[in-house]
Amino acid sequence: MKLRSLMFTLLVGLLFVGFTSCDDDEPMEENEEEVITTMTVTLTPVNGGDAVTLNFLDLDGDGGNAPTISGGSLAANTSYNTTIDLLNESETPAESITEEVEEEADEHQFFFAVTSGLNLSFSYSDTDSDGNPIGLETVMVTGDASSGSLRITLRHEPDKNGTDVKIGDITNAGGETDIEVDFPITIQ
Amino acid sequence: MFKLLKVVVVLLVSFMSLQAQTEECVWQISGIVLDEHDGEPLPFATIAIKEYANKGTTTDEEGNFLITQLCKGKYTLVASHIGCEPIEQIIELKGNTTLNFRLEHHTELLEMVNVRSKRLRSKSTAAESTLEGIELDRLRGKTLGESLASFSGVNSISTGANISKPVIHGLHSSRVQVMNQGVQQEGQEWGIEHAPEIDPFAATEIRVIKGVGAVEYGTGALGGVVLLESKPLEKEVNNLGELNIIGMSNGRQLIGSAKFASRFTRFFTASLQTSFKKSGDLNAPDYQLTNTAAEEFNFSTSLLYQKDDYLSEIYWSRFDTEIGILRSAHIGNLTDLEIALNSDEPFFVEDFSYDILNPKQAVTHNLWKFRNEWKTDMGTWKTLYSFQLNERKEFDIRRGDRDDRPAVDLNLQAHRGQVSWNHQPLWGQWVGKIGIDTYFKRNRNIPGTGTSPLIPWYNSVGASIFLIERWLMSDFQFEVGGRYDFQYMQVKTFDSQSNLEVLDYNFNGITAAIGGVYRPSEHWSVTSNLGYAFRPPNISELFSEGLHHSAGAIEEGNRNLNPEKGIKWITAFTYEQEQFFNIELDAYVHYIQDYIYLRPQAEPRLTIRGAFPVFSYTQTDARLYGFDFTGNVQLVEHLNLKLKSSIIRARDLTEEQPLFLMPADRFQVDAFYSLSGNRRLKDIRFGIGYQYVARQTRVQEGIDYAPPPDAYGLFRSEVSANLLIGNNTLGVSLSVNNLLNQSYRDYLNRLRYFADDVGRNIELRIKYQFIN
Repeated sequence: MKLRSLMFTLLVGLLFVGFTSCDDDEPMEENEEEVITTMTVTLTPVNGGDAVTLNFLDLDGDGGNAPTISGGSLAANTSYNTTIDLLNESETPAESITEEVEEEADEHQFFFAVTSGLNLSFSYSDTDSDGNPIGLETVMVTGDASSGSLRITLRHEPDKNGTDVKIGDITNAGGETDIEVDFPITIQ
Repeated sequence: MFKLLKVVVVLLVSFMSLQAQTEECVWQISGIVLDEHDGEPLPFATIAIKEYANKGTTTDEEGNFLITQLCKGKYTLVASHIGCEPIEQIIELKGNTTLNFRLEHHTELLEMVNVRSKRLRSKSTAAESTLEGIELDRLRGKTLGESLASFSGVNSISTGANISKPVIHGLHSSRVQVMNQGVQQEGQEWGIEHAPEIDPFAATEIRVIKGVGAVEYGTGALGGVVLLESKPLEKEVNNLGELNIIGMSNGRQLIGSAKFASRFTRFFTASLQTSFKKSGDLNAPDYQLTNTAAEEFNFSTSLLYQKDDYLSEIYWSRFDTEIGILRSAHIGNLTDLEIALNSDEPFFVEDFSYDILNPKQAVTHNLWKFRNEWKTDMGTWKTLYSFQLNERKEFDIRRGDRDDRPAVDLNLQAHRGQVSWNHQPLWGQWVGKIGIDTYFKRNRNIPGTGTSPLIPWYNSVGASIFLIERWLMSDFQFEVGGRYDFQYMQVKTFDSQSNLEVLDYNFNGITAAIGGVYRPSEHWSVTSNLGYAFRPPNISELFSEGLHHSAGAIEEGNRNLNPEKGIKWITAFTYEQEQFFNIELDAYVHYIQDYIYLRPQAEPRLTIRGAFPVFSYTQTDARLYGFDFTGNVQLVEHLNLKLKSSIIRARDLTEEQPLFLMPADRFQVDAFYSLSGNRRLKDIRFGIGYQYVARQTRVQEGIDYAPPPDAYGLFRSEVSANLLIGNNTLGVSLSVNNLLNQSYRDYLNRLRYFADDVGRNIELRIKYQFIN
């Protein structure tokens, strides 16, 4: 009988411990580190002139408010030195995602695609450690006046040796998409 | 004249018994009723005294009986039990007497439905089936989800071959309660890609209850219950050891387990069990499934003290696994998904490897348990305290040096306490149990993931009270039960402006069931159960928010969900005739009010990765019905044909559409040629089987990314035998699954968008068991 009551006390005790261990701790908010809130594409005419910027802005990340996308208008038959800058502005100070991409350049590649009708072509002007393109720096060449949209895609872990991937054909690139944004473009 | 004589006799007897009662009628007969075959106690056997119609009783769960307030004299005791020949014994009662009975079962009952007769203690009327012995051995080394899929009416929903969980009559995850060693499993069971954190090797018996309102198990049992139990050492056995070694060709897997139990003193039994698994990348018939390797290391140990009418046990088990998830299933957006759907081969296909890279899951689960049982004159008291610690880490493909940092890092702790009382049989035939059940659960996100948590911080406490009563007759059993649950949950989360929100939820409700078993003849039985259950919405349904990388979809919780309420009627018809002819047909209909599901929203959400479809948790009314069939026919001597089929129809009554992700119709036929063998070589069996899974044609347009995969049929074969070496047994079996190495995809596998299912698998199982 002694043993029984001992066991029972032990059980009640354990339950008590269980129920009183409801600590009053608070959750910690987690920073979304990999969020890309801002993408700025700067097109500077090779032969001088004002730069054109394209902007994607979604400060509260996925969800919440919808992103704002602003396109731009380019001059016909002109070459532009183009750079892409990526930021995570949900952190203070803003974190440069461009740096992260540069650090893992061999695992990343940008692709540029236009809707039919837009006379715009591009060529990579940067390379990773294997001599393969990255796409943070490119040269965009406009044709005759036209309009449409430019889709900029960033792939993580693509197969850069796939057929035509090095010249910017996404078809055989694979990997997974980190960025896919359409910018409205007018060439005049 | 004759009548008058009768009256006189009756009067005289009554007078004598009155007389007798004025004597000292304080004596008692106690004893135990055992099964003649295996020496196991027989619960709910009936003990009648021919001379005293009102002095009958029923044995309790441990086969004990007690008849009190008897006068001295000569009595005829009759012990009987469902499926047994009654035994009569005449005794001369001179004082307190102990008397044991050994009842013999009809063997045909033992063969097919040992559940019904032998294990009536736990047999609920809610369509219960058991997997044990040789049938369980055949499935050793498989995941719990896969093993459970061998029950008719149970399927597995999976995320590749290493992560699978049971679907009972179309319902899974939070709607199925998993009971591991008598304790409600507390894991992150809300996720389809979260398999039960249980080592199937630790169980010697797996049971499934398909009906609802199994009131003992709580609010998770809306869709059914899975019970994993390990049998204690039998009374005659002092030491039991078991060694399993399994090799599988697909994934070059090596799986092993060892178990040892010993009664090292008269009162103490200790047991230790461990298992491990090492698997490399699996392969589909045409390619390697890169990053599907897995590792597992588990153990459990227990110490049992047993003396007279007292029992106490401490138990600890630890489950530890690391599972790779198909690399190609990690996608960035819908464009990627479309590419995956349109390509014949997954994008990432590399050479075989044992490496587990991202994406992967690393999960550990600890269970500590302390239980007591003691028998008193009033019945059996049981207490159970358990503590579970579940740690889940999920690693994603990430930028920067974040690959070693988990993207999901959850810590769940759950305390649970239960006290129950099995009362002594009342009025001879009523046996029952009353209990209270309480829990405290806390879920935390371990900081440092660098991503918003999938589910928030929460604390939850709950209490419930339940009562089950069973009325047992030789050809009829009636059951009624009820439960009241109260649950409180506090959630802390951050809104989009980083303000802390604190939300409180209260849920309470009733679970109830009524059922019966009727056995009109030796061969036939009908079991019917009507159950009502409720289930509060789980944390993910209320609060999940974010992008699912393997689905390319945004899921949104709904903070205003109501509990689901379900009513299910299930009836099982059984015909059993030894090994010659056995059939069981289960028919059920389940109506669920406020059924929670993910509903696609009209507006996609634009993000930097492109536009994503948004799915929100919504409630509707649903109706599910279906049939499960199993049949076993002996065609000629030694050759048996086994048929199995399950069909389910599920409908959203509000939208008038089929419910999403319901198992397709399936049929299975197995032929076994078995020989009982000689004294050394036993249980020789050759088998060949075919499983056909139809295409799911009942789908709602526009809520899935790809149409359901085509129907498929798979062959398998096996050969097995047991070699007796003294008291020890060496069992060897060789089986081949997907014999023809066919490419197929299953509707319930979430990786079907990305890759084929696994190809041919040759499995060799060796089991060595020693007993003394």
